[in-house]
Amino acid sequence: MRTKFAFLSALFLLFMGQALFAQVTGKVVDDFGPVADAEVTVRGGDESTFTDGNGAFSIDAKVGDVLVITDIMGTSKDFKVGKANMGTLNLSALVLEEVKLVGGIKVDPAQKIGAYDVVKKEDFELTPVASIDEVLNGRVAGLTFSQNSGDPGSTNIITIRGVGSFIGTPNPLYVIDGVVVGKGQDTGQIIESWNPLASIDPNAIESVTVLKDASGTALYGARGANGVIVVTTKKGKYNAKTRFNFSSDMAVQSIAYDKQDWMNADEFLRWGGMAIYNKNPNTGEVGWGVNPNYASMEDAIAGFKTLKNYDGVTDENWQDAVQRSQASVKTYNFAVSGGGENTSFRFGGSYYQNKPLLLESNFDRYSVNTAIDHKIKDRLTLGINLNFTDVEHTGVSDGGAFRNPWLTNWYILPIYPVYNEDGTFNQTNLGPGNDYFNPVALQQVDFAKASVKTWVASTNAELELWKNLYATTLIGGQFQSMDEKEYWGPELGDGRNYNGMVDAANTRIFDWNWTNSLSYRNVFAEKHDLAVYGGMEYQEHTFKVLRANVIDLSEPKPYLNYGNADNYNAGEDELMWTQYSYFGRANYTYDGKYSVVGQLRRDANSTLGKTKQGVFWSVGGSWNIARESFAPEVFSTFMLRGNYGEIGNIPYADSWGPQYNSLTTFSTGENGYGVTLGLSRLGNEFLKWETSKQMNLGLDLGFFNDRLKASVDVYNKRTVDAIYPKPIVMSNGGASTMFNVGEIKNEGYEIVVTSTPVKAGDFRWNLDANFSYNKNTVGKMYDSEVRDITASRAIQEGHLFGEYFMYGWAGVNPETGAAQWWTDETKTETTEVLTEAERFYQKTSPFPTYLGGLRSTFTYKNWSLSAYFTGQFDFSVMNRWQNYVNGDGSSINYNQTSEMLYDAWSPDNPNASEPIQVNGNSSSSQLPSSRWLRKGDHIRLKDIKLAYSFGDKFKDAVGIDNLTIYVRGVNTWVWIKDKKLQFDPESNSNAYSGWAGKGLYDYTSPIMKSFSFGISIDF
Amino acid sequence: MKFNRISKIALMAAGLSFMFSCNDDRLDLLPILDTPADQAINDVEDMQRALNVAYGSIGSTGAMGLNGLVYPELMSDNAFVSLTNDGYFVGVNAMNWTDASGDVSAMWGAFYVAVRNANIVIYADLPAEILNTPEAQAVIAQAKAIRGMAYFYLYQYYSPSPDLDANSPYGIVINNMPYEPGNPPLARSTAPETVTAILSDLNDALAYAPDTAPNKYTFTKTTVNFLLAKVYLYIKDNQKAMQHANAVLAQAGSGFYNFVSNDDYLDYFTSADNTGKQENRPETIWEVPQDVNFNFSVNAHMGAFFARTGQHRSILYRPVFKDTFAASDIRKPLFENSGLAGDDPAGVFIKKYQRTNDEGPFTQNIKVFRMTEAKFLLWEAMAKAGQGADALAAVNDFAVSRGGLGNYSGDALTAVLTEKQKEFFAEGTRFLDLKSNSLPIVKVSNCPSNCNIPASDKLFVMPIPFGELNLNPNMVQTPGW
Repeated sequence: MRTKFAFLSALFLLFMGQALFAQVTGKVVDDFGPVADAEVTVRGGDESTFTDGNGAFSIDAKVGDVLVITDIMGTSKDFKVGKANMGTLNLSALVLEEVKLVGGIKVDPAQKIGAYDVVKKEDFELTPVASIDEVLNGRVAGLTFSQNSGDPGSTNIITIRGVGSFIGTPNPLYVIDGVVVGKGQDTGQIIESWNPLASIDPNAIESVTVLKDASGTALYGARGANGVIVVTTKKGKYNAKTRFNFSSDMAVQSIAYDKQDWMNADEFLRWGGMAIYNKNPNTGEVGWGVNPNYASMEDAIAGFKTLKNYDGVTDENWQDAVQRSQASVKTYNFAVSGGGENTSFRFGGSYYQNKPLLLESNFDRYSVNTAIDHKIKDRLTLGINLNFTDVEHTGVSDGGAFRNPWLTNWYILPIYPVYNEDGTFNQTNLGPGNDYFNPVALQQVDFAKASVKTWVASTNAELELWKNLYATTLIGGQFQSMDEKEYWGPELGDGRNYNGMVDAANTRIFDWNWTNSLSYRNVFAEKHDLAVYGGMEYQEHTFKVLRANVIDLSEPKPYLNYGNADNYNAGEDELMWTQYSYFGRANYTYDGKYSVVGQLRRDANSTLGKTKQGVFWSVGGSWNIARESFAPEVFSTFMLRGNYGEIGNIPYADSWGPQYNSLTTFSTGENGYGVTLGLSRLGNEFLKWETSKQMNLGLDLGFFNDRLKASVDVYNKRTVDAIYPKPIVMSNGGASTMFNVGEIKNEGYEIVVTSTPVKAGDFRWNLDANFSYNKNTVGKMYDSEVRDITASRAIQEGHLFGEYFMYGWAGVNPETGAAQWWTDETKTETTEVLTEAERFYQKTSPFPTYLGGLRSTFTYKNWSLSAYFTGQFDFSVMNRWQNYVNGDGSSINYNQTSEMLYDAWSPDNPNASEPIQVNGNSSSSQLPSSRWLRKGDHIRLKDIKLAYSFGDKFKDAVGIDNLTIYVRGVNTWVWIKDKKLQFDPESNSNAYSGWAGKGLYDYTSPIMKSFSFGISIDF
Repeated sequence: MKFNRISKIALMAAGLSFMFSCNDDRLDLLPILDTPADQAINDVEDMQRALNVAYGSIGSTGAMGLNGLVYPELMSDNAFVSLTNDGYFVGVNAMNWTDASGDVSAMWGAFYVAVRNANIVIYADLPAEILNTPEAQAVIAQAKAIRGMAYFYLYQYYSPSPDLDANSPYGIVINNMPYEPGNPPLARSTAPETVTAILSDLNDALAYAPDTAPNKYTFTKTTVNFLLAKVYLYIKDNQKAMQHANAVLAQAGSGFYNFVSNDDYLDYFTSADNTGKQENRPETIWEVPQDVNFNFSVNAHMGAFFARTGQHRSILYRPVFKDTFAASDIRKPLFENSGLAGDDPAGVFIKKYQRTNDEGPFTQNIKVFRMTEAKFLLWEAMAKAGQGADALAAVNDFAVSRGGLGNYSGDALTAVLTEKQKEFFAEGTRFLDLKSNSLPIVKVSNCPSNCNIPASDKLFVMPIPFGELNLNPNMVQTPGW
């Protein structure tokens, strides 16, 4: 029937000579072949149909309409009707979709002006990682990711196009269903670190759009300068039958990369013997065998055994002792979605259970999410999204705490056992000062826990006031309630000093924002596509904490009530900041060829000085050359893009604490003298917006009907008036205060290629790659001579951002075994006395210059195999722990890595890498120098997955629409360029805030790799 | 019509929201717990509270609460860091610092924080009728004493000894002005200017400081006299040094001050009864308060390093020093019999900072100045002022009173300093006594580096911290560094 009608319609059209209504046909496929039972609807219309067994459909629509095609898994994609026979429509191919942004503003890929990337739900579903930001690693050109800890729920450092601010987190801004939820900045009061993004269930995500340049980020104004991550959660579809999905993933985990070879008992004793052999305790003389008390090395080793009270048999691996035999992650996920004519819904729930490597630690996340949309005719649409998660987490104490098992397991020597012969814990034979710090025992009694409940909810409404004039409102909020507790039993470790301790904190963070806008969208004379928006936004962020601490417990129980009432401590604080914005945007496209966009906004932020407001703007344009008549046929896509904008930024706003920077304040407290009134904050009443001036030029090319597509973006970003904590000279009381005194330059390019090299029968090969270059330099500063050094990296005008600044290691003197340094950066002279050497710039930073990602997917019938590689190149990382303990004998109380024995200088090994080992070594050879610097270059197999889909094979038997099973590996393989690099180059230290922890490895939990098996059932 | 109604409601809502959004008051936010600086100090009580902060900073771990006591022990022939250590004070022990060393900047920074906090009191912007009250004057006097003392210790550590170069251009930074974070960085004063500033502060303080106090945490006239005696002795004005030392000694028997008796001597240092036998004793002139709620805890209390238990225990004394005490000396029991494994020769722990007592560890007040030292200040001044015979006799009497042999002869100054070392080991005087008298540092054993340092060596003057030079174009490094 319909076919006949379509024929008649076509005839009719022929006579009319003008496109009106037509029967539009096409065939829907995905990577597995034709898609049956996919729903096809016309956006804004009532028409709806389903594809047949060959994926074919036909529907009433007109040229210019948008078809929304949704498969039974819920994958949805829009296709603009260009002609009546649309040919093959691929649901899987990486084609950019229309992206909904703030205030009802939508970005149409056909009118693309800026640089952005979209990461789809397939990448988030059933991933054995705790937080969504981890998934973005390598999937977005120009985005670098590194982990502050392998402990699930810890914060991460993510930079998009380099570091744009001196302070605060360099991370981009996250917006979930229109709710501005922050940047994943640590909110933990007691536990080592807490990343608020770990409360977001990755399985609830439909797509993530990463906005990288001014044309996109300008919409988010303040805080968007580092890039914006727009997260859209899954929703139901109108006119869709109710569908169910259950999926599950079971993963086992182990340390991804750790080549630190800690000594066993025998090695340690030999090393210690060597160290005492090499120092004359009477004269202080240093040299091979100068200790007159020992006739031979064997004597010295025997003497060292006696000194260390060695029992002659123990050989303990403390690293293994604090770990579970098997770390694991289990994910269970359930969703139901569907919709009627006017209402659609989706309910989802998931349980993520992680048993991390460390004994007694855990991370359990329960989440439910709901999305309901309702429309009244086509004039009013209402939507609500609700997400709730509960995370129960037992982690570790703060990184540097002696009780941190990742630290203690290195402190305690392999010559001491975990257990006494009678099976009790060894508590008093652990080496000097380590009594009662047996980490295995501590893990059983003491704990640091958090229970985090997070609600993210938003409601939105769009009303067509008059034809083409829309009013949009969105109000949304995030409420996070954290209950944290640390307990030290009275019998062990730190608790012994206090007869037990309980520390409890309750933190409540509430972020909400309300956006209202009016927009006018119309297409005139079919060629003039105009959209004008205007609106306002208000944001409010509050942080409240209650904290109490008691010691001297009457019972060894982890509750405040048991503390001694004479010395309890309690306190609270409240912090708040707000922001008003007014914004306007206009975009115009002529004939689908030429697009221009302009944006203007005024933002006012409460954390600034007297002048709180700033005016920011961006302009951009694009030329879709492929639509020109003169465009060569070879190009299926050919587009030039460019934009420039000046965006305001408040770099510290997401760190709770620096909310009142304009004020110098005093606060009341107490010390041993009584009530105190002291300086609590050094302010600057002239503090104003830092401004990020961003330019982006892009070129998109497509060949062979877009089977091969490439995009190139070149950017230049200059942050001026960058807010910097200008240090105050110590003789004026020290500390620092925020000033607009710096400039940062980020420049680089990004190349993204997507291709389908082979498409033959049932076989298909997709190959996608991205590559980027980024360079960060410190521009004009308030004083070109001043260098601010944090953790061996410096900020100074004209240098790389965070360039390593340290002594230059000149190796070992082959004659004497002495440590040598270059006297200065000319590297012409060496010295064996550190005080005669100068520190200098090492011309390398912890930020990779080059990034790459490569994804290869093979599909054959129901099989698919995908592999995803990421790479980071040209940067340096440093081992902060070895640079503390590997002191060439300065302390003989810490375990050492084995090269200190096997590759240390001796007369027989004059070309050793490590100096002569000397008991009580005072050469300071362990201090930060290029000795500890390693190249971080690596290529990682981030994700590999083999899946088989049974399709509807079981439909008749048990009613299952689809069944997919897979095996998957995450972080399973890594290639490291620097053979001396012993730790994971994606590690960061938790000991510093913001960028300063980047590239430092210390006593944080290691990064994990995982192997998993998963199943997904639709019914 | 249905949609028109919705349109109207929506328009009204949108209009209301725009009106609401114009309320810029929501941008003017103040912290709940803090007061803007210009409204913070309003009366004498506020000044006293600010003074409590200044006291906290002069007694902080970077200043006199820890570093000011530990450095002079390790930078001398008194104590050493055991080879069995966990990294604390190893740089001070080896004396191998550079201007970039944290050890160097920690002390500099801590004393200037004390100066800053004293300045907040001294320059409190209050009406004259408040500032002129005796209560306000007493508070300001104590703040000036804190500032003068901070300058004095900075001068001792970061400038050449006046015994070698009293007119050195390399004094310290004198920052006598109201505190503003934006104040431009200042240049070093000369040594004479530094001395003038120190004396000015302490003499001002003497005029209005209280005679007595509720405890030994705060400064009295006696504390100021004690400091003045030290300053004058350091700058070789022996007459004035004697005058102020005598003013201190005159307070003995006043009830608030007295000398510790032999019977109480060990308890004064080692009793588990903190409040009953150790703290706020008449012997003490000034001590840093530590209690169960406010203390330097496991990583920074003297007891963490000097006592014989705990993770950081590492500071030991040489057996040769212990051997200088006669068996009958009542101070000899302040030494333990053992130290830590690995040292050759083995060192011994001392008991002046016991780690356990009735309130738990790290709650013991830290004694900084005590009455007996005034005797030594007096005798040292006498020895230098031509009254060597009297000084020698007094030192011998003192030694005998402690159960020692009292057989000093010859040079009185040597006798005074030797006996002072025995009385005040672990109390932070030794390095400064060597420096002020241009005596070398000779570490006979247990020494990783810099074991024989002549008095002219640059190691007697700590370098100006790199951070200070880096930020302050007016700052110059001391020659040699």
